[in-house]
Amino acid sequence: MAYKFSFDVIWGNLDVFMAGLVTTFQIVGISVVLGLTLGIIVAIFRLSRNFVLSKLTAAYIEFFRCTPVLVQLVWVFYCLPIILGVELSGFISCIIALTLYAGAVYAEAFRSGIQAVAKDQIEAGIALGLSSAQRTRYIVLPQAVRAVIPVLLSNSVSLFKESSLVSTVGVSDLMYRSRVLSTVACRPIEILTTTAVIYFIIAFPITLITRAIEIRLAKKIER
Amino acid sequence: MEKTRDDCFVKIINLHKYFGNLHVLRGVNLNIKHRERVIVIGNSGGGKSTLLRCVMGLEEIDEGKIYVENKPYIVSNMGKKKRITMSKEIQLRVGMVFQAFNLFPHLTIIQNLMLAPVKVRKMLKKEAFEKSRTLLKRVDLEDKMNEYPSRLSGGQKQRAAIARALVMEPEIMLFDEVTSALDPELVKEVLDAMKELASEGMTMIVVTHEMSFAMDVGERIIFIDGGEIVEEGGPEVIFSNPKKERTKQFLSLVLNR
Amino acid sequence: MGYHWEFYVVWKHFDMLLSGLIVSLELTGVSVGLALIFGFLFAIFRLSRNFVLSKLTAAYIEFFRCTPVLVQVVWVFYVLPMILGIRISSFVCGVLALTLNLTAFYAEAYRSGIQAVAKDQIEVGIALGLSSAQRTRYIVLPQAVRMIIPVLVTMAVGTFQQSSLVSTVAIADLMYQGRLLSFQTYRPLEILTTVAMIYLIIAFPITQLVRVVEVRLAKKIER
Repeated sequence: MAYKFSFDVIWGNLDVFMAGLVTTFQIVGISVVLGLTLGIIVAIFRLSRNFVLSKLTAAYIEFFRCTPVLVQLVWVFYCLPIILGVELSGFISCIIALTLYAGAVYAEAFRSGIQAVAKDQIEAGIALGLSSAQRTRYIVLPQAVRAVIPVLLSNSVSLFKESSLVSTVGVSDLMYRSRVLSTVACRPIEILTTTAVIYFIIAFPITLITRAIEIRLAKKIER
Repeated sequence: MEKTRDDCFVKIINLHKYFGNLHVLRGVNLNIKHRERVIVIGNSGGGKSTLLRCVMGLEEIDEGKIYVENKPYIVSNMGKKKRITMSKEIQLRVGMVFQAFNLFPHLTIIQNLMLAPVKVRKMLKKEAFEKSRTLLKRVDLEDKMNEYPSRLSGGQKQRAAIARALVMEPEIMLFDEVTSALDPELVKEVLDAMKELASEGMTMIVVTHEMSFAMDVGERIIFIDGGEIVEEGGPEVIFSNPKKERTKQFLSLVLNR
Repeated sequence: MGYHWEFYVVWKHFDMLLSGLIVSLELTGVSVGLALIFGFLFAIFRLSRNFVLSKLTAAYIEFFRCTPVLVQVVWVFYVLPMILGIRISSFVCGVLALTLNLTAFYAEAYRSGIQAVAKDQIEVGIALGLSSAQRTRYIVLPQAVRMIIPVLVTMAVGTFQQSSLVSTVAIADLMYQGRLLSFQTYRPLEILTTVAMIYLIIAFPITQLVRVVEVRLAKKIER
């Protein structure tokens, strides 16, 4: 069956793609920022000596990493309003869900980054009389953050990809608008392929940059 | 050589340390006088570094006491409920330099030196800067002040580490095999810095394999083996006339290279 | 909060959830099986000296790693049949999309495992007179595979999570049944929470097992 490709439908609807992309960026941007903040706090709690705090945060992290993001999104969308007794817009629920997910993922990244800071460094801090909080703030965290940047970047790219899931609860991101458009215009091939390509040309360069940073960092440490 | 005062500065009493089932320090007793330069020698695994780390407070003592000027510094009692107390004030009077330098890679040399005085002693940045710069001059690293540690040679890094420890004005300096990780040609500059420190009257405990340094600078040599002090005495005595068999064995291995 | 929890609904319709779970497991199982084989093949292609083969597989791998799985699922479901001009059953679409995705990730895992086998090892093989194929078979592969097993398992668990996405193209997996049931019974809270728990109960033990294995492997190598 010969299919006639017609990419006019793409050019004619660029504004739709753009609008979707803007929403996607908004959602991802906010979730990344909130998620990073949440992640650092959770990581520090996870590593604290307080048993309860440590185990609670561990449970939070495991929960969000062992359940599908789709389930998390749908749950927050339908169930959270019921529990809280307030109405939540699709946009807000998705941000809440993605932030919670991002927080868990980033927390794990920060945790391994923190634990990777050599014991020697901490001992030098002890020998100089720095308190535990000072050691964390001036010695451990600066080094951990530096080491963890590639992981954070690749996690953020993943978050960008997962954001497409918000389309399943009716939030008008890139994926949602493409699906609607492909139904309306009856040209799923061109439209969905273009959507895939759009995600790709955003995610791929960032992935390459992440790899370059990883290599640079590895060289620096080896020296 | 300065006259050492006879009163006891640091008193280590019956120090025991276990790593799991391994009895690494078996009842070490040591009195150190003001300005005394104590060199600790011995085989690997004999407990030398552990002793230093216990004095710095990096390892928890299982039993024993450490007093500084007759005031309790670290006190541990082995019992059903192990209780350890450590005086943070006194800990600030102890400084340590490590085999692996442990400079902070994300800070420049001058920042490495300034961190502790500013944060711990609440010194003003300007004051800390001046002090740090003076010390860097002393160890001949003033020109490297704004460099990051990765740009320095091993010997320079270790001298910077010594300067960093000195900024906090410790009264006791602990050196844990500080030249063992250095290429041979870089060892001398570090030993020279340590010699200068010694001539200025710093109380120091040095764990080292550098026997010539021990002979030059050491006032008292301590040979530790199997977690115990086997023999101690002045360098003339230990090196030329060791009394114990184990000491003789160790020295023959080390000196006949 | 005066929400009245009623888990009775869950027990009453548990068979529906169970049948969904079976579909999810089937999808995951088949995809993982296929991806294990194709991932290996593609890794070999990627590492081959043939420029075209190497670059083509690289493009495939990058594309499927840098685009959202949801986009891939929707694309395979709607676009592929149209392009090929044949009808593809839903289940096959699901398996196809998940396999294409996982194969890309597995290919990278195999590749890094193979490249991580120390050059020394291969040199010994050359010195002993083994051919390239023999070296690959007896020296490189056994070590590479041992190293990457934890990663392969972790990614398989990831695919299990992502299988929930087929629910968006009306494949009756666990998530689909869960959403259907929530609408039918008006009890999204109990149902969706249970669905999340089911994913968790399956994913979590496997994740923990992987961690234990990783620690054991790390100790082995240290010695």
